[in-house]
Order: sequence, then C-alpha cells, then structure tokens
Amino acid sequence: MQELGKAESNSTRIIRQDDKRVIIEKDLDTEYMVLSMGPQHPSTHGVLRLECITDGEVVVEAEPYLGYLHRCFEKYCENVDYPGIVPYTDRMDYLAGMNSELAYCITVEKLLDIEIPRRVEFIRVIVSELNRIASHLVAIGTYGIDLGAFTPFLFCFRDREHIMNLLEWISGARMLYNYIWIGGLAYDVPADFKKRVAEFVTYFRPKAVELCKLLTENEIFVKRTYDIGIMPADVAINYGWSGPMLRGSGVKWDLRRNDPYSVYPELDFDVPVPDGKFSVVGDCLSRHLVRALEMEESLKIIEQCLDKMPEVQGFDSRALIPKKIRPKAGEVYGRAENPRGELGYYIVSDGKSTKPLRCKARSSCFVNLSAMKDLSKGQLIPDLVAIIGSIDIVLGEVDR
Amino acid sequence: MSEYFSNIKTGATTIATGMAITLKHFFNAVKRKGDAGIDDADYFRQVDGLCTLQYPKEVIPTPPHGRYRLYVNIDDCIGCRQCERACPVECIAIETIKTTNDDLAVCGKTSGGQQKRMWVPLFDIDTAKCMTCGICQSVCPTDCLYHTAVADFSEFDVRNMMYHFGNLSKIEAEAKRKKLAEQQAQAAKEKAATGAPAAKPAPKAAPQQKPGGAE
Repeated sequence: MQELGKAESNSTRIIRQDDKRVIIEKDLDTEYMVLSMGPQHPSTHGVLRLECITDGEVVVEAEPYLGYLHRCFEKYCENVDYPGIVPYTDRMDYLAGMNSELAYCITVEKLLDIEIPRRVEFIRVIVSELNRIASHLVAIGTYGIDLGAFTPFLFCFRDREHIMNLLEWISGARMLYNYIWIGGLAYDVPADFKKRVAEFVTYFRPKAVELCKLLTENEIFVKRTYDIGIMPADVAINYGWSGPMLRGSGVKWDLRRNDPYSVYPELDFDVPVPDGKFSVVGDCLSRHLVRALEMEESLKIIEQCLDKMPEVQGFDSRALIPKKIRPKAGEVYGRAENPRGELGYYIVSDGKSTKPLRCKARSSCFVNLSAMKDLSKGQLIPDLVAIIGSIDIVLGEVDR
Repeated sequence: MSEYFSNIKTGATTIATGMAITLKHFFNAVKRKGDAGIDDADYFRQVDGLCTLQYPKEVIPTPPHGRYRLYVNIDDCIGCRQCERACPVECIAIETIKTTNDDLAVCGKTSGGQQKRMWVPLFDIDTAKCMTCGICQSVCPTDCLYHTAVADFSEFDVRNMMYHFGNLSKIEAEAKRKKLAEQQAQAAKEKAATGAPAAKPAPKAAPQQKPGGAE
C-alpha cells in the first residue's frame, strides 16, 4: 500500500449510500490510496493484478495489469507446424480446450479449403458444447465463491467431473485434449459414447435447476449482483465485447447464429438475452443469468446432435487428415463462439513452409477485460470483486 | 414498509430453499458413490452420496487409452526419428547407429516383420517436459511409441522424470560405432581402388545436361 498524498482541497468524494444512490460530496479533504489487488488475490481468478486508486472504500480507478502468464503463443506458432499448434490452443483457454481447438481447426481448414465428414462435424459440436457446459459450471461456481457462497461451487464441480470423465474417455486427457485435429479427429468416439452422453443430459437437467435454486435465486446473491457494474449496449459494442458479456448487455449476438460454422445452422436453439425482468440489463446478474440459461441451450444442442449424428460402420476419423499440411500463400481469419466470447485466429501462410508465418489469436477474455476501467469507476471494493467475477476471465487466454 | 417485509420474506425463503438442498445432501452423505469408470454401464446409476474419493487409496480409473506416461516398446523401434521431429516441446532425444550387414540378424525384426536397420543406443524421454499431446504417437510408423494410462508417476527429483529406453549399453554402443566406422572405411578404400574411375564422369555429365534442359 502506498499513499498518494493529500488531494486538492476542492476534491470530490463519491459515496455509495445504498444500492441505488451515489452521493458526491465536494470540498472534502480526502486522501487517495493505491491498493493493489492480486496477483495473488483469490478473487482475481489467476494472476491478474488490479491497481485500484481508492477513496475510502470507493474505487476511483482500477487498472488491470497483465502478463504474469505470458507464454509467447505467437512466437511458438512460428516454430511448430500446423498440427503442433493444436495442443497450444488447449492451453490458452484451459477451461474450454475443445472450443479453442475447434476455432483453430476451422481457421486452418478454411485456409486449406477441405471438406469435413458430417460425422466428424457432429462429434465436434457435441464435445465443444459439453465443454461449454463445463466452462460455465466453473464460471458460475467460482462466481459464487467470490461472493461468499461456497456450496454451489462444490455442486458445480461434482457435475463438471462427469463431463471431464466423458471427454477423457474419448480423447485420453482430462483438460488438454488435442482431440480435434485439422481435417478430422484424433479418435472416433467409443461405442457407448452416445448412450452415456444422453444419460448425462438426463442427469444434468434437474441438477441445473437445483443449481439455479441454490445460487441464482438466492436473495443474498441477487443483492450482491443486481444493478452492479452496468454496461450499456453501445459501450459494450464499442469495447468489442462478445459472448455472454455482450448478451448480458442485451445485444443478441452469438457467432453460432450470426456467423454460423460447422453444423450449427441445422440445429434449433435460442440465444438467451436478459429481458430486464429479473435484472437490470447489463449488470452482473444479467451476465450470470446468460451463462445459466446457456447451459440449457447447450443441452438442447447436444440432444439434437445425438439424434442427427450419422452412424458410419468402420469410420476412420483420421482418413481425411492431410499428410503434410502446407497451405497456399494467403491469410485467413476464422472465429468461433467460445464460452467466453469470440475466439478468433488470424493465420498468415507463405505457401512454402509447413509452419505458419504468423498466427495471432484474438482472445475474448482480453477484450472483455479491457472495459475494467470503465466498469469499476465509482464502485465499492466488494462490488469490484463481483464485477471481476462476472467478466469470467481465464488468465491463460488473456496473456496467451 | 411492505416492501421492507417482503424483502425479508424472499430473503428467508430463498435461503431456506438453498438450505433444504444442502440438508438433502447432508442426509445423503451416509452413502458413498463408488469409483466406477465412465465406460461402466452403470456410471450414471451410482448412488447419490459422497463423491470424494480418498486418494491415494482410491483413484478415478483412467480409460484404457488414457494419454499419460509415454512408453516405447524399443524392440519395435526402427530408429526413424519421426517422433523426435514431430514433438512440439522437444522432449524426445534419439541417437542411432546404422547396423552393419553381418549384424542384421542380431538386430532382428519388429513384431510387424519389418527388418530393423538401426541400433538405438539412446532413446530418452523427458516426461517432465512432455505435454502428453499424442502427436509422436500418431506419427510412429510401427506404433511402438504410445501413451499409457499410468497417470500417477510423480517424483521427488526431477532427474528421475527422464526415462531411458535405449537398447544398447554404452560399451555395446561404442563397439557397434567402431565396427561401423571400420566397415565404412573399408568400403571407402575399396571404392577408391575400383570405383573411382567410374564414379568421376558422372558428376561431369550432370552439369552439361542441366543447362540444356533449362533452355
């Protein structure tokens, strides 16, 4: 902690009187204090450091400092060939590895211009939606912990364990899958996989309702998140927000609908957007609600995929994987809807090498976090914790 | 005023609902969920109860093709070094010695019936570096390099994470290297004696053809 010294005599003092009213007192002799939150603070979800300039308990300005987990993703990509990058994309957003892989593989396939078997497409969608549920479960659970509710976290992790087991069963690893490959999949799914996923869907439906009762409807939780950290839709768009964050501000924008990829156009699902009945549009509670409702939509998608997935006898998921991946010279930008927003890859190929000339990742968390300064202005420190939690950052993706 | 009391009421009821769920779980805690693997048909029909396993006495079973510790069946390795080149983190180190013709029978064949032409005195895998991506496994032509389902292999000393799979001892490798060098020197000598006049015109002819072809 460090003191900035006395502020000017005609400085203003912002005080939150109750939930809705903020009063500004002028001509008060106050001192600003710099408070460093993180990188070890448990509510910062990893190694994020927030430098808050506080006036009493009110945050005047909070600036995020990043880079504690920087691993030179772009430089790595210049030195490994195209299939070798896939495991690194897992490690970016480690809570939703399948979604990151899907985004990367879609991008390279766009560059190569190759066809993907229909069965592969359906398996890809199933695994990425399973992973989306797992990721949202972590987001909701840890958000509860941030606000002092420890129990929902344990319930979330109990259910997430089943998804981890399912994904380990098909890919061989629990979190860092390397399952979706360029042009195919590492393995075909086991024989009983469809049955087990269907069982999971029937198992999880009541548990999601239970979780809603436990956390989302809890009055203490609602009081902590209602009307906190409001982001208007236009400002959110200007910041480049995407995913549940943007939908929480009332913008119906989902890449699965607005820029469809894979087999999403054939599937029937809603894009949940808060209507302002239970929350103020754009506040922390809306963002939480979007995540909670999205899990139900993901379950719907999985059910439809299980019905539509073609059964192929003796299916070889690696049959169409190119032996040597050497795309034509050119550049491509591909994107997919991650649990946290738009994850995009920009790849430049020089046409000669089996390694990309450049591979840049557009991280959704990084962009969402950039609005921190705006969101935190005039908030109380406990509310700041609620705001960071609602952004749902994964530092592995922020720092890359 | 009525809002004040209704707030208290919703607060109390929602907390009571949450408590009821917790209490249900509390009474369930006398039962224990088993440790059935996901490939078990009754996986989702296990009793609802405590789901924590007492590690290391109990473990979550890993699926049979789980991608954990790397293993090399060195008897099947032909020393092609494709895994070494494919590894994104460079955790595999291989050294090979060409087999001399009289040693081919000793070197043997792979289980697929392919004649091995390389001794592999050094095949080291640094499992501390390995990120279990499975790319080496996918490029291996004889399927001798694969991840096993052994997930728990932590060590107190990081040097113990280095696994050695080479099929020759240091002394044996030195002998093979010496033998190969001798044989190569012999072959070169023979070539110099007999094949030198025949070999010389060939490089001369090549440059003459090339410009002609280009025009």
